[in-house]
Amino acid sequence: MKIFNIVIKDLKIVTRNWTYFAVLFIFPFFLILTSAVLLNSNSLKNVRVGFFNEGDNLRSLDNLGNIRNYGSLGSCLFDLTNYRISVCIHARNVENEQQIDVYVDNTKRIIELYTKQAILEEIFQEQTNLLEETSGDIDSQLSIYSTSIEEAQMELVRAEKELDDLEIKLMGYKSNLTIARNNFNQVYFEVKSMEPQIQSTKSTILSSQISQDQSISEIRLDLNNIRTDLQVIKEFLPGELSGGALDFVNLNLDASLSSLNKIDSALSSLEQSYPDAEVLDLLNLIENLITRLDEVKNFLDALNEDLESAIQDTRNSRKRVEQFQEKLYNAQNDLSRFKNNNEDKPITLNFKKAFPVISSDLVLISFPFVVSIIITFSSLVLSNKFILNSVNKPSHLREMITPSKDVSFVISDYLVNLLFISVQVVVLILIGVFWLQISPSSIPLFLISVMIASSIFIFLGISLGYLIKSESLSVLITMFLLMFFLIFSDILVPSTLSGAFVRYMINLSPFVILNNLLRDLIIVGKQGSQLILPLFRLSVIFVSTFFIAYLSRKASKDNIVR
Amino acid sequence: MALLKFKEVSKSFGKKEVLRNVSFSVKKGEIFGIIGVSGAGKSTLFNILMGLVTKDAGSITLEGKDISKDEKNLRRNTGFATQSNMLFDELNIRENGLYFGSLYGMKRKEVKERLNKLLELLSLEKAEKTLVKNLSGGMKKRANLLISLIHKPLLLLLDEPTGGLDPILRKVLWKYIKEINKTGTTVLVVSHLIDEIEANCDKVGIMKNGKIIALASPKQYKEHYGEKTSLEKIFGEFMKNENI
Repeated sequence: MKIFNIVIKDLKIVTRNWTYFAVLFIFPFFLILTSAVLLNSNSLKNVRVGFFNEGDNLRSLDNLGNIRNYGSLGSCLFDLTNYRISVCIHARNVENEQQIDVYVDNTKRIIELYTKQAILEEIFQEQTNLLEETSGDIDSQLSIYSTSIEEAQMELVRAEKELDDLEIKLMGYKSNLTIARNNFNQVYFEVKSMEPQIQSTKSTILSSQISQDQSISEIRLDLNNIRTDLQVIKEFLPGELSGGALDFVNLNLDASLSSLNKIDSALSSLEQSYPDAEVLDLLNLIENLITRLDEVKNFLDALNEDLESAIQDTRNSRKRVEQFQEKLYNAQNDLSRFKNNNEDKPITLNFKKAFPVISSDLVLISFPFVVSIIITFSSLVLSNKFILNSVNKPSHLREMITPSKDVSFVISDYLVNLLFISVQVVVLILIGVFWLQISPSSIPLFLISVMIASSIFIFLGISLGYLIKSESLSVLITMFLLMFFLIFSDILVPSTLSGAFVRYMINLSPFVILNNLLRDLIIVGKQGSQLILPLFRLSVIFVSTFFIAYLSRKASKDNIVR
Repeated sequence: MALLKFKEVSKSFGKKEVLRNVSFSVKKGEIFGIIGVSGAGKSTLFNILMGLVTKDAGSITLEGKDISKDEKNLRRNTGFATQSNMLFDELNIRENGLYFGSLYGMKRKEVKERLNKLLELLSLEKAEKTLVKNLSGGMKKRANLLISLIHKPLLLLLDEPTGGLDPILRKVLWKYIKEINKTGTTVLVVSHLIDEIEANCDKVGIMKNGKIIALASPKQYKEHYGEKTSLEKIFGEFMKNENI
């Protein structure tokens, strides 16, 4: 009965404080929702796979989804070691074997194992299917190409033969033309050699003709003068002579005039029957003949050149056909070889480590993760409890009514908590250095990273302490927050399998940043300059959480009044 | 001269009007008592004076200065003590004194001098290095008073200062409050124990439904209601009267 009454009393207390209900209902719901989001966005397609292909068979991994092709193994590994990709696949031919090297992040044991066992098995199952499908496709394509090449080769042989025939014909034409040209040239050059003589003869004839024509003209002029004179005499005589004398003289004069006319006729006949005119015509004819012969010669020369050019073109064409035949022959050989390779080459799959192995000590490898959990847990819970102890005492009211600034209290509370955490950090460093042999050179960065991350969680714990005065409620919410940080990380599922947005959000979690940072520092051995980005991110979150704590302190004044 | 002056101060939380045109003055050096039933608005009045709540209307001046314009001045010049122990149990009286003195911006030497005086005034010299959690109830109350006075406030606000003490210790504590008052500190006290208020205060205000419904010295109340009428009875009559 007592137990029953106690239970009833407790139930009444709890149910009459709605915030308990809210926390007990909303937070598990929220955590399960977070887990669901993580798991639902979890897909092999999200794994960012880097691919450097030096082989000839593994053509594409496009079916795998998030593939990024690389031009060199170095760039692929660089991105892998900087977490831009999760797996780097290097495909290449080694002798008669196709080798596929798979580089995986070996600093995260769980992820590495998961990646090996689950992701890559799946990837290469798909790849094997792909290869089988590709092999069939390639075989059929190769057969088609091979047939086409053979047909092309036959066509080329026919074309080559036709070119040979054409060349022979052209050579025959050229031979005949050469004979004709030689014969022609013989006549031509003989005739051509006469040309100056003909010119000279022609000139001589023309000049003698001119001289003769001048003499005849002069004679004709004299004849005309005589005729005129005789005419004058004849007209004069009737006045001087008469009768018989006159008749006699007239008769003689008429006879003389008649003779003169005959001479004139004879001269005309002479003019018309010039003995060299035919020669001259003949010479002109020969000159025309030579001109025609020149044209024939030019035509023959051009024809000869065209034939030469046609023969040369035919030879060049045949040479190109021969070269093309050779290429086709090589292509056919390549195809045959490729076909053989495709059928026969075994594939070897090797898993390799992205980072040179620092240690195989599992304690060391999980040390960053353990440190992150310890720091997150202790910072959140310690600071929350510290503030709750403070704000639930009447002395807190006295502090609130002093003229001191809120920021002074926030900084003081933070420093005290950080001091306590520092003790823990020192212990962790001692364990790291003396037990796990962590390099002392990494201690300063280890300290900075842990202190910044711890500060973030301290501020969050302080904020919850200020905002929620109820001790049990505040601790409950702090625990939920802690669970949220753990779930929203690589613990539940590797973030490499999550979608881009979820992965981005996970990478903003201070717990994840701290874990990755410590892993890079301790396991991978990265230097300070390579850790600037996560340190910067932590610093930004540090400043943000400080402001959250400050505002929570301000808001807590309302709680005091209530 | 009035050290503290309330003029038509009003305050509401949502639709509930907690203070309604409250007006009164507290003279320098007097002990001013306020009595009222729970929910009358006493705590809100104190919260406003501590700077934890802002008034909606009216004005409050401390030494003639508007407290809403200079909150730091208000905090520097007021001390506050309740029936709860507002000290850190894990520190001794001296350590508490040094800590809170520093929060008021006092120099360490100044705090030490003030602390010595107060320890003597409140007869706590022998207990100065005792952890607060180990002090007796009466000593805790005195230690609480000591810390409230560490920064030399002009006005000491006391909320049920003797709550939880037996009658003998209550009388002792009032003796110390009067001692403090004699040093020039004005005291504004809220209590349910009307007989204490009647016996120790120079002026008493009666609060009902967010208003000061009566304001006079205990002597004036007696003159008005009869020499043999106690303040408690007068207060009871006020509470019964629904017209007020």
